[in-house]
Amino acid sequence: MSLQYYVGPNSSLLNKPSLEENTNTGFTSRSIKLLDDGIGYLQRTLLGFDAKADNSHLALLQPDLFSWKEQGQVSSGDTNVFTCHGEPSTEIPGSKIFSRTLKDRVSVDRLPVELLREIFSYSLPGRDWRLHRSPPPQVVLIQVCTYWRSIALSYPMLWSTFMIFYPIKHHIPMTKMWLEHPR
Amino acid sequence: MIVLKTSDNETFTVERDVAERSVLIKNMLDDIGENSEQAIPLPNVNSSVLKKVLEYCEHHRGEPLPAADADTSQDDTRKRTTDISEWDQKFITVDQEMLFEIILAANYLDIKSLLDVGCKTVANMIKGKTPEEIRKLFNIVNDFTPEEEAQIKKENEWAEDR
Repeated sequence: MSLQYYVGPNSSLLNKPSLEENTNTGFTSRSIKLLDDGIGYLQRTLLGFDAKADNSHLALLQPDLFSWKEQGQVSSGDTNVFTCHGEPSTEIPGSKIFSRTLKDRVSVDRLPVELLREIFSYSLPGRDWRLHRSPPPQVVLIQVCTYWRSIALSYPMLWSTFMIFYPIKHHIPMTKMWLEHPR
Repeated sequence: MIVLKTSDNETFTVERDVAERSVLIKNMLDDIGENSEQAIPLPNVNSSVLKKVLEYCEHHRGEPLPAADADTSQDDTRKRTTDISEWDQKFITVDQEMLFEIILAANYLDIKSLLDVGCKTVANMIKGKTPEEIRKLFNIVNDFTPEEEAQIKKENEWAEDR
């Protein structure tokens, strides 16, 4: 089984295909909105978060909310990892919430965009950074996951400066990539 | 003395100058007036986190608060250094969950210096690590599509014969 809607950084709870199909299913935009509002209300009252709020998509990434995981995909130590696909267990999703609410568990992905941006800005290299030792931190940040990538790429402050103190030949392709990168 | 009430209904009685390290609480106190004995509700902060936050506020009481209209150029300079004082470093040596709770609480309570300490700490954890090491550190799933993976590979071509 797989989740029919994946709530990611740029998606709403009801995914776009469902909205586009409304003429075939007979759903009006009003009925979809009512359903959407209903789901939102249940999330707020039963699960303790609002899927429409800025950072809510990440609340679904908490392992206690959905218990199904693809076997072997997650190591035993990865307690905060959640995958969208896999066989469901007999446990009711969200049932653990009552003993341990989402608000009780915080990971880096629960931080709002503005705080992640603040953290990213502190990750910028100082004058002691050298390209031959490590790639620019900005390039590392956009290679962690899609959420970090979208936040880092949409934050101009990270990309406004590129420092070259002791030029080496790798600065040429690096600078080319930097300037040509779609942002 | 000021009474603060946490999300789990615990109350903390603290001195006004300690509580006023939080701009949010300071503004609330200004609004409700000097003589109110009402507990100030803090629905976004639980007792264990507030205890830590108050420990920080107690230690830094009396220090000047950053100006509300701080110069942005100074702000950029500030971001270049991730130095943290010795006391703050010991204070923020907590598990990841508490670290992020403190950051969220500092943001909500508007305690800029504490927010800086938290963000700098996370930045220091990230610095010098590869994407894979960062994912492992924070239990982040690599959710890139094959197309994005191809783009990332391209982004790394500059370093191939490094």
